[in-house]
Amino acid sequence: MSYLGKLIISFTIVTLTACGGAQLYHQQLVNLDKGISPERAAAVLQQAPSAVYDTVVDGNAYKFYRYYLNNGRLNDTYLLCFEGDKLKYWGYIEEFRRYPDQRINRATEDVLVQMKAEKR
Amino acid sequence: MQSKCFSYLFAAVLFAGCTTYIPLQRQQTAHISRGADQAQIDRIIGNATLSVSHRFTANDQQYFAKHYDLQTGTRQQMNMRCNRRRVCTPIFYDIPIYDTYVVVFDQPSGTVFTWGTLEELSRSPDDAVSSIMPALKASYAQARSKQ
Repeated sequence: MSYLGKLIISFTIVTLTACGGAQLYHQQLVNLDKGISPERAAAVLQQAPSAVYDTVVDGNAYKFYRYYLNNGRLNDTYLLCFEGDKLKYWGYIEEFRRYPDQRINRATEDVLVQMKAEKR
Repeated sequence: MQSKCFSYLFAAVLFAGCTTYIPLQRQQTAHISRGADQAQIDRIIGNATLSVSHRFTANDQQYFAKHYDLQTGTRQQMNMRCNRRRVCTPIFYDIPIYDTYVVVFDQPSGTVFTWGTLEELSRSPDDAVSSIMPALKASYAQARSKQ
């Protein structure tokens, strides 16, 4: 195999590795509606979450689904938040932090702590 | 003379093609405000091409929705152009990216109730907005299928 051939194959492998893993695309998000169940959300997105987190704030149980959203060259963490098994909100971490409900803000921070602990 | 005629015809077809479809831009949507009437919105949105409009009912209230294609950015596409000596040059093209944008008017008042992309409105913290979205999306799909 020529040097150029080897170079092309190496480049392809590196590129595919970088893009690998489940990821969402913006077009899929249009199908989400408030109030749907976690199972329905995964079905609508045609993809299981890469991780699931549970947390309780002021006696309210929250479930978070973590996805990665394709933003062109990069994938960003994208969360779905269920309150009482109903989809309450979805978005980037920064959007969760400015959501006008302090319980959601606190639940998000708790989930971020869980994510960090996972990485260690 | 005949070739000249064809050139003019080709240019006219191209020009017509360009003028019949105009996407919405963020500079225009920045001027939309709640309570504005349809005439005001038409002035703001100006010449942007209306993709579809439809009426729907949600929460026992009637609404009128107008959909546009909002240009949200561009992506770059590369093609290789090679000459006879097999020397290739990359050619880059900017391809626009669009997202469906909707302006919803309250009926019968005809004033703006809400506006944004389908995704923005679906997850709006305001339940009065997010609760109409399943009905809006179903009606939109039906209106598009009739086109």
